[in-house]
Amino acid sequence: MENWACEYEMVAGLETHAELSTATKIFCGCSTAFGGAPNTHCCPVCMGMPGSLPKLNQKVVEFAVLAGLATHCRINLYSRMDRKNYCYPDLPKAYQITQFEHPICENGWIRLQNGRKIRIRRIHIEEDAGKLLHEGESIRIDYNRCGVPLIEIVTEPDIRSPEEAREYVEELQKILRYLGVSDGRMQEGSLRCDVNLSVRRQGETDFGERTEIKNMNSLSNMVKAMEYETRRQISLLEKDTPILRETLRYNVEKGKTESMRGKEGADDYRYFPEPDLPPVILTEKDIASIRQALPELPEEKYQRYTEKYHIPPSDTRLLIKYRSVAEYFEKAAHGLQNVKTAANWILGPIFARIPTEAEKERFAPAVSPIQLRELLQLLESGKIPLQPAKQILEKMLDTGESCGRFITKEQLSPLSEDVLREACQDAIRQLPQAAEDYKNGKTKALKALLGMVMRSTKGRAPAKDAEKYLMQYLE
Amino acid sequence: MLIPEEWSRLLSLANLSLSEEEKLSLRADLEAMVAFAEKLGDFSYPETEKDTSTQSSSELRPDILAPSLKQEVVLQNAPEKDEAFFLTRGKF
Amino acid sequence: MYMMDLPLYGTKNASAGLPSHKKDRILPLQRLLLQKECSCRELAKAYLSAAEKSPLNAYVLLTAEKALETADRVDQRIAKGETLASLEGIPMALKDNLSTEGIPTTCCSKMLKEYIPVYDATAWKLLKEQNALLLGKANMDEFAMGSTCETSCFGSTLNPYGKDRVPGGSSGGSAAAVASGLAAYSLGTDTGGSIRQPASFCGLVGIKPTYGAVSRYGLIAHASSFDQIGPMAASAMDAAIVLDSIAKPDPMDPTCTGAPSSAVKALGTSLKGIRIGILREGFQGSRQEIRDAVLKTAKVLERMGAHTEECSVPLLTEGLQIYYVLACAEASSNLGRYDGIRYGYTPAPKEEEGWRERILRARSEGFGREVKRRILLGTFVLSAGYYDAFYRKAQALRRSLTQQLKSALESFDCLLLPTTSTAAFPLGMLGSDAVENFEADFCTVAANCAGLPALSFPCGITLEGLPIGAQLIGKAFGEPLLLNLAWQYEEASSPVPMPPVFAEKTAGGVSLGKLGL
Repeated sequence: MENWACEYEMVAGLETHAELSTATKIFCGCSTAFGGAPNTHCCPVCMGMPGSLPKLNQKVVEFAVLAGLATHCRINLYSRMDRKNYCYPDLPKAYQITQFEHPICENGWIRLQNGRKIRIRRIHIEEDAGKLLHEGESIRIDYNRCGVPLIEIVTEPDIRSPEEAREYVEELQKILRYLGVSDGRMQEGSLRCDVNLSVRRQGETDFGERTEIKNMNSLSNMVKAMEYETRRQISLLEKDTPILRETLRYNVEKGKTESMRGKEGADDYRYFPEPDLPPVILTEKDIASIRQALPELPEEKYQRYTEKYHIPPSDTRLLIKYRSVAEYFEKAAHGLQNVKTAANWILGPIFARIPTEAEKERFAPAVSPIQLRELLQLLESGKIPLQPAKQILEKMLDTGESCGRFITKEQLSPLSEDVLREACQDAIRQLPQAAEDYKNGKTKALKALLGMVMRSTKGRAPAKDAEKYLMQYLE
Repeated sequence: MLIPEEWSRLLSLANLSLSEEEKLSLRADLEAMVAFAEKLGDFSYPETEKDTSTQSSSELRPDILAPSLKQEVVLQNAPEKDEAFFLTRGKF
Repeated sequence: MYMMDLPLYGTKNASAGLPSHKKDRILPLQRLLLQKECSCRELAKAYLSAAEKSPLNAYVLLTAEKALETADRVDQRIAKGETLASLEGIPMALKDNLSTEGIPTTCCSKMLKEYIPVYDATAWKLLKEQNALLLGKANMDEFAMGSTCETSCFGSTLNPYGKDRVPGGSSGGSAAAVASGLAAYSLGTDTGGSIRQPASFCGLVGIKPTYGAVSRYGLIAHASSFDQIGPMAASAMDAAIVLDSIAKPDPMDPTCTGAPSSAVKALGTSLKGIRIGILREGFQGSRQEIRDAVLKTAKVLERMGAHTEECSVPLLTEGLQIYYVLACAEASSNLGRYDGIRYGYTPAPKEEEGWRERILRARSEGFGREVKRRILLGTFVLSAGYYDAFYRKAQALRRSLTQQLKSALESFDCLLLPTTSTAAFPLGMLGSDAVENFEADFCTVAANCAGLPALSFPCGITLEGLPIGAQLIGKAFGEPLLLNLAWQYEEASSPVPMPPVFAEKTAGGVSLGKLGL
């Protein structure tokens, strides 16, 4: 890392907002679809028109519970909505309905690759605000986004490096996407991270004064911002200058954090229980049935792939990165002995054709998992040797057609014993030097003879049997 | 009873600006109201924070689309707007 | 629910076509229409013309065109011999905090003077669907904050029983309109007594339903956990008919479950065995006349078979503090949205003025003094450092008060106390003293704190000729029992006289005023 790492320790916690992939908004039936014409996904409720009343979307509760279960949280059977009061043009009611005192999930964790757990203090549900568009002196306001459901995931200050922060966010994104609960894309704004960061001398147990960094629109900017801010705080400490608790933004062009002017002191949000909404009451039965809907999560797949199938950890990570890839792999490998080959072929030839992350996430190769499995079964049963199979795979990826199209009848039908014996005897006759070498103890020479047998049988010879006969004849 | 900083902070939170005369009389009002409300302090009460309402399940709505208002209807009552947006001025 | 389903009430006079001592208006009016003694259009015109001429300032807006359209629709249905819905064609008023699509809804505030809702309040919609004859929007205290109807930006409404008296508030216009014969019934709203107190001051039956019986969707919020919509009418039967129409579950309001049983069907049930608790603390501070009238009412009900006994709810006396802290807190939050950006008042922009300054000006110019007071108090009790001492404490005490009321209601079917400690006071009397203004709500706030139904019905008249109201608080969803008690009381007693200014109206040759319609 950096030279300061020996003397100082960076301590950070993250607050992440994820937009939920429900069809409708949190308190009304307006669409959450991105990109509509301004102010066309609005109704009296999300506009906060006088007399309107909110009504909580069932799916939002379900999604929040799923997120909580997937991160080992305790799901609170009683949780409650609160009002957070402040005035801003993008907030139609002049309060945001959120959960302050009694969030729906608490005390979970996400485990990083280095084994460390990042504890999750809480997950709660809340509504999003509208969008302000600044144009010179005017501000234009679009309320389409107002009322889109969010979950906020707050960690304890357990993060100890910008890289850990990155990994935490990536793991969180992975989990949310696996659950289908959120797209979790920072660039699109469906995932927003705020970082609370402080530093302290190594060995110190008290926390230093923290600053909050907001509005970072990508993981790499978040990492850069954290690195910069850490250095800045350390240099202040070295000069005995106290660190101000303030809110900062990361200026990408300048590569530094700067104070967000205009955030005058801490707002007093005057939280109080939302009188228009009954508390959110869940039973153990509700939670059990939501738990049924939990897909196998990345960390469970990691265990299974590495321990049961003996797929190397780095390959496993690539396979489980996107649920679509993992499910493709599982379908293709279903019933196979040699699961590793399926893994290799996906990570090798198939991935080669799908270069971008976005495409990998959608994962729709020209070959379907069933088609792949078909080919792999033929390979496994010895009907097609490895090299030809690989070639067939490439042809399948080129055309999207099943392997049957590329395998001739002749190739599929088993070679008769006589033909095989003859081919072996021919090979010995054609490569006398290799035959001599083998008789003289150079066992490797068998390979050349085997190669010849393969060529003459157009690859149909089963390798083990050919070897057996060759050795017989060479005695 | 309320120190001046608290008073001006209160006005700022309430999003109200008052004339000097209004400030004087409303401040007196507020202090009388607060003294009145302070009588609550004479009472002890049971410490049950959770809402022990009789509701056993919350009223939730299914995640099904309902028609939104047309853009011009949404903007109908806006004092300042352009074709598609509500308008306000930036901060100075 | 159709007219034929309703029970005939007891007096022989009614069937003989003579004026009943009962003050029912809905059934008699529908009878006139069905018997074709006048058309609905003639009815509408008679009421509208009386409203236009009235000096009481009960209405802030008359919706003549829409009313006549509705009247014509009703006349067509009558001509075809179609069965009328229970409130079809009956002239009525809506308090101006109930959203009416396409019709200005101002809360009698400068802030919303130009505001036209784009949707209907559910309670109104239920009546609109029955072709209820909406005559106009009724005057009220600004944003329902007040007990005299004097804080309205359209000026005060006068009490029909005394032209220098207030009609009560905040549903003052709704009360005055019905009491003076400018509407057969109206819908008001009650947060701390705003239906019951004006009903009491104007000699009407007014009921605040159980919290959750009537949908609040479309009611421009004052204090969300206290507000309820309810009928204001000349008789218990009328109030029951209206309540049955509006107390329906509403998917748009998660706090609304509707009423489980019909109020009308309960009218006429014997009072034998009904236990009434005479609520001791409720009489504190009441004038002697009021006290006597209410206790006399108890005796009347006893004679009809009810059993009365004194009972106590000690926390009743703290009801005002509890109510004001919590209601102002909720109101301060509910009124935050009025910033002049999406709707409502905004002043002409100044040079170099940002949005925050503009919002400050809009709110300061758009809100009246009482509203500002309550916003400030509400903001204060929620603010950091004071939340625990005020808001949290008031919440806990609210639970205790509720518990005490519900305990009392385990031994009794309902509780009896005055609606107000005085009769209607003179205009301008409740001056600028904030705390004194609060005290007008002393008897009424407890029912809002507990979410229990409460009804006011006229039980006498003062020496000065001003109506006195008795109040009944019931168990949750106990409206049918309360209305039956009021109905039975009407059977057994002489009615409060009509106010001298009761509007003379002629429709199709029928002198409505003379019939008390």
